[in-house]
Amino acid sequence: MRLNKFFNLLIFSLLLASCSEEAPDYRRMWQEAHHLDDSVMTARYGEPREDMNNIFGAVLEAVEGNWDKVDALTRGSRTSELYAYYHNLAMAMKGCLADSLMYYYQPFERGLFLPVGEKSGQMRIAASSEVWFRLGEMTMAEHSAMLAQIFSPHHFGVPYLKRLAEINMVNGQDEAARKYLHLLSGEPGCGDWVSDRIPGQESKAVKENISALRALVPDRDIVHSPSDYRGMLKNLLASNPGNGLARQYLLCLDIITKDLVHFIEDYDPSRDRSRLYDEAVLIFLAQLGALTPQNVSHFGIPQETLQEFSDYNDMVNFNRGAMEPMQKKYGKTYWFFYQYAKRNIK
Amino acid sequence: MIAAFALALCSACGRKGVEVSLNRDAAIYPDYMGVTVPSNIAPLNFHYTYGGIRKARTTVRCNDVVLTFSGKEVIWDMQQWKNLLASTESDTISFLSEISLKGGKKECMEWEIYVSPDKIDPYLSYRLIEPGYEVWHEVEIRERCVENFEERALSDWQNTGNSCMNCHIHSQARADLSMFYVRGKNGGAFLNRNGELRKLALNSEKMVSGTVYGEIHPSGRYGVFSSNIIIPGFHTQGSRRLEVYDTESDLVIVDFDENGLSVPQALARKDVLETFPVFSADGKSIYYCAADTLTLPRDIEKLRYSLMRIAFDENTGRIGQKAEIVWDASEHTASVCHPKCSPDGKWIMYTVADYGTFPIWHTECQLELMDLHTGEIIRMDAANSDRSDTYHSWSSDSRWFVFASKRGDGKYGRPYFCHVGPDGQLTKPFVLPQEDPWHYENSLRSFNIPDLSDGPVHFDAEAVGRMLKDTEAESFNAYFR
Repeated sequence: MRLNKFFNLLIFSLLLASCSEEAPDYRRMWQEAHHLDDSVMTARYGEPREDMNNIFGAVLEAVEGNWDKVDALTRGSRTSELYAYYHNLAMAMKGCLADSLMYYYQPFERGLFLPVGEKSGQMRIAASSEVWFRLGEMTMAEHSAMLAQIFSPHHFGVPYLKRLAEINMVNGQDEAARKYLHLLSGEPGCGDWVSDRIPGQESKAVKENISALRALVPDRDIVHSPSDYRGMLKNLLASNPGNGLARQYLLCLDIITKDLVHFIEDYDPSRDRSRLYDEAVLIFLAQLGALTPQNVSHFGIPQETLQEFSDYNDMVNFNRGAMEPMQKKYGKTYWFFYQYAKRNIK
Repeated sequence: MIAAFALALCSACGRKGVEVSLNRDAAIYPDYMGVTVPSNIAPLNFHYTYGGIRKARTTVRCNDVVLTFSGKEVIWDMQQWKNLLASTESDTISFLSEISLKGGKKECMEWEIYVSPDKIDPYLSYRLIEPGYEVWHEVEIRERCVENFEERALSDWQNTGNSCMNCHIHSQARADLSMFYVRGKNGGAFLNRNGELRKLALNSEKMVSGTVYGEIHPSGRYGVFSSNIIIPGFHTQGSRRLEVYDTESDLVIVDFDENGLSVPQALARKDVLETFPVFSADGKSIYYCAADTLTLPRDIEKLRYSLMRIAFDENTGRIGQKAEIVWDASEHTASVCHPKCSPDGKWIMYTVADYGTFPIWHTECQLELMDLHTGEIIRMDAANSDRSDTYHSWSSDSRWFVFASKRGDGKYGRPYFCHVGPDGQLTKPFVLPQEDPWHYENSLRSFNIPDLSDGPVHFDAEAVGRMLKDTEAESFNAYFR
């Protein structure tokens, strides 16, 4: 009898262990974090789907800063702005945005920033705060987090309250932070998260994280339009030249929008190293008719890359500009993107 | 056994009670200590803000009445509260708060609430909206009886197809004369006048935009409004948030009897921005704010509005030839907005900020009072806070005003009431009482443009919804003068 009980317990524990290795049910977590019943969940988000589960997961894991998980959830070839947005952010947080940029679907600047308004979908709004928060642009982050809360079915969502609490901690607005923490304190599973962030009693890790983010906040104030991404990134870097995330985003924004004039202005070959940047420089120099050994050397471009660029152009000419023959060999190069990627105007 | 195991897992997943103390500046929230309230106000329910309260007792004394409350919340029975206010032969209600905290510490406080014989207008309308910068979703304008906790929708998102709506303003706190906008498809200005609700199209190609800010003339025939091109800009410093500014603005006079819109040429200059017009109490003048146009947003911190006055002839609907400066921005190195004249004609109250025209996120912005008979400016330190204090409105007897303040958490505007003595003496303001003493802590919506009225308006959200759907907006003829 006793043995039976032991085996029952063992089997139950093994079941639990095997369940824990499966992908978490982010849809259920999302539902709970927004106080939604099943019918609202289905009406709003449809029946369960893997791609949506991954996006729910990306939003929830990014708020917690779990970049490996965000990376894993958004890898692949899906032509989704949200996937691109989160994957790019995960790569940037690991310091390799430029190296990975051409390996995934890139919907131009919408893979870096998600413009939001009252007509945007809720998942897009829910996601749009994350990049701004990590960059140190707390006004845009707060704007997006507030919108996410406003446009959620019950004007409520744990991820947004968490984000709003942290934004206010970074801004030194403790009373507002306390309000959001107070609202979170009644939410299942949020107890430790809240107690680690009570102003004045923060855990060491939280204190360090908030200090690091606070250091990114620009000391120079400007008033700008919410779509002036470049202006905001430049302002962040003017205050903190060491803001590596802002630097990656600025250069990749220039590149992904094919704005090579600004790219060359922003690019510093002595500190920004990536094959992607070399490829962009080569296009710029070629367009300028300045593809000289001196210029190539000035930008530190390896001879092999220069040779590949020459091969690429030969092949384009050979194929009379046709895209398909180029794709297999050069589909992951910026040259290919620059030449063939077109905006999907809806 | 499985159930027990599952329970053990659950208790290990971080679920535990966490107490986050709020509003720690005061021992109670809402902070009613030392406030002056009108004798017709709703019960002042509150809770203690200390963390770790083990036991709390509150003893209330007023004349011969002694009441005791146990617990960290003090929630009045409506009749008990009304009886108490009725018995205030003296003007003071005394409180003794005795708090036992975990760890053995004890707090004991004696404090008062002062009751003014000046009653306040019994109704307050406001827009409830999350402070989400320039975007809205599911907003509503509500009307609350401040003598109790009854509240109803005057216009809501359910009946308007989730349209944006702008704030409801009364003329001199009159329930029979008010206006608000519903924007978007089928929208218009909704005028409540003499028991009739009209939907008006207050726009024309001759204007910079449709009408925006303004006020109805005491006679009810006219309105004065600004038409503005409004731009929201974002500050890069998170604590400063949003800066709303105009790139163009003019004034327009509306004749509600003749359905006319006149754009006074004298105030339609491209080099001057005019906004926030209101009538004087007697209707013979218009006050408004004016600033020279600048390159915006680059020069936003140099944008400073002065308070102006120009004559208005209610017989002809025309304005005078020349405006005079009432409050000079260059003299004060500051900017003025939201002027409102008291119905008795003695005061004009306005908001002063370092710069700009819409300082709802400016922590430095303050209310200021001017005696219109003497020109004397009275500081309003008793009413102002270290957060934005804006969008006030007067009660019909000019003894009370309400304003939206972001004091406390700095994000969410709440309506505060303040008493004004005959000499301009102010008392400590108090927030609109709520049945649930935790209402404000738990709410994620702001109270926009709180506006007092002497009674309930005659329409409701369903009537507005029907009119929005079924009635064409009345057109208005525009002309320059």
